Amino acid sequence: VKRPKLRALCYSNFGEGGSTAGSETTLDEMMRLAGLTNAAAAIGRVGHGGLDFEQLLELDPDLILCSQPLRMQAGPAGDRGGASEQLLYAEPRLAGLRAVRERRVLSLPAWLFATGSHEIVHAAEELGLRVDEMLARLSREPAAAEVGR
Amino acid sequence: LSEPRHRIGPRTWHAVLLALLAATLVLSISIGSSHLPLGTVLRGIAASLGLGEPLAGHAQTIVELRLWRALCAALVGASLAYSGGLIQGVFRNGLASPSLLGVTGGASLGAAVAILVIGGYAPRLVLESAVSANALLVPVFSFFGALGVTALVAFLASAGGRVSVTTLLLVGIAVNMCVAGVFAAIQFLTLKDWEVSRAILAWTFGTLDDRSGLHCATVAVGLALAAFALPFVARELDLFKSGEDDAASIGVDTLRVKWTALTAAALASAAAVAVAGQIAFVGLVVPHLVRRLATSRYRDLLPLSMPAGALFLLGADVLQRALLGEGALQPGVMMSLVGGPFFLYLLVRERREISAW
Repeated sequence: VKRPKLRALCYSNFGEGGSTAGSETTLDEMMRLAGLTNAAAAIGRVGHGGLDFEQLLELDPDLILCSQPLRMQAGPAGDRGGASEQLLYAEPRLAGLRAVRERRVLSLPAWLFATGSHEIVHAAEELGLRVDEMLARLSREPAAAEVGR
Repeated sequence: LSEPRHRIGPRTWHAVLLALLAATLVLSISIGSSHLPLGTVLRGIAASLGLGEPLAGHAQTIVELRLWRALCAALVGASLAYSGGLIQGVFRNGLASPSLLGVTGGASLGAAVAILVIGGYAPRLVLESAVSANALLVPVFSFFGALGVTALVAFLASAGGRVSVTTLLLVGIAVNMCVAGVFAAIQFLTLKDWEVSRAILAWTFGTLDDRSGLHCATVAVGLALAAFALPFVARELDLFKSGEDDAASIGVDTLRVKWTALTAAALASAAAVAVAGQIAFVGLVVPHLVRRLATSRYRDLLPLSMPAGALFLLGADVLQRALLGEGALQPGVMMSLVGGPFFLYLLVRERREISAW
C-alpha cells in the first residue's frame, strides 16, 4: 500500500460509551497488515476497552474505522454509515477531531471486524482497498475535505 | 419519634457537605487522561461560563467534558440517594432501594431496546430517524422504560387506588424478574452481533463518560420535580415510622403520602439511571450513612441525602479515577463493589430485627 502511514483508530459507540481495540487484537493485526498504525496500540492500549471523548480527542487519529452493525449492512440505512459514524459527525464536541474535519471516518461491514482466521489477510486487503478508495474520493472532492475546517 | 442526639446538626451538615462537594467538583474536573494544570482547568471553567477566552485546541472541550461528567455524577448521586430515602420511608425499611420499584430493570430494558434500534434491529423508517438521534435515544428509551415498569408495578400492586407496601414489594420483585428475563433474552439473542451485545452489556455497568449539558438537565429536572414532593411527605414519613395505621389515626392521608413519595422517587431515580445506566446501592447506602451520622428524621434526612449522595458518587468516582487512572471502573461496578458488602453488613447488623419480620 503506497500511502502515508495513517494513525487509525477503531471506534464503536451506540450511545452507551465508546470503545476501541488496542494491541493483541485481531483488529490491530488487520490494521497493521493494511499499512495503518493503530493509534490506541501506539499509546499502550491492550485488548478491547472503553474510550471516552477526552481520550478520543487526545489521540486525534488521522482515520477512524467504525463498523456497520450486522443488521445494517443488509441495507436499511443504505450508505448512511453506521451508528458510530453518525455519532462522530453529529457530536459537536468531536467536531475538532482531524478525522471528522477531513471526513476520514470509514464505516466497514461488520464481518471485517469479526474475522478471526486466515481470512484476516482478505480482511486486511479489503480494509486497505477501502481506505485507498476513501482517500482517492476525498482528493477528488476537496470541498468535502474542507468541511468543518 | 425521638432520635439519638447527634453532635452536629443538619444545618451544619448541609454546609459541610456543600463545601466538600464544591471542592470535589473542582478536583474531579482536574483529573483526566490529559494532563491539564489546575490553573488551565480553572480558566477553562471560567471560559465555559463566558468569563474569558476559550482554551486553545481540544483543551476547552476537554474541560467542558470533565465539567459535565462531574455535574452529572453529583446530580445522579443526589437523585438516587433522595429516591432511596423516600423509598425507605414508605417501606419503613432501611433495606429498601429504588430498584425495588423496577426502575433499574425498566431503564436497562429501555436502553437495550434503544441499542437494538441503533444497531439496525428496526424497520427502515424508524432506523432512518433513530440513527441520527443516536446520542439521545438511549437516555430517552431508558427514562420511559424506567417509568413504564414502575407504573406497571404500581398498577399491579394497587387495588382501587389503595396499595400495601408488602404487595408493592412482592409485585416489584415479580416484575423485576420478568423484566430481567426479557433483558436476558435480548442479551442471548444478540450474542452473535458483537457490537450490539457489547453495547448492551456496557450499559449495565453504568457510565458517566461523555455526558453533556442535556444529560445533566435531564437529571436536574427529574430531581427538581421530585423535590417538590418534599414538603408534602417529609413530616408524614416520620409519622409512618410507628406504622401506617398509627399515622392514619392522627390524620395523615397515608394513601396520598405513599403515592406522592413513590412518584417522586420513581421520577428522580428514572432520570438518574436514564443518563448514567445501572448504578446500584447509592439509594441504599447514602440514606443509611445520613441516618447514622446526622439524623433519622425524614424532614432532615431527605434534604441531606441529596448533597450526601452527590458527594458519595462524585467522591467515589474521583477517588478511583485518581488511583486507577485508565483502569478505572465504571460507576455501576464500583458502587456494586462498595454496596454489596455494605448491604451484607446491614443485614448482619439488623438480623435480629429482620428475623422478626
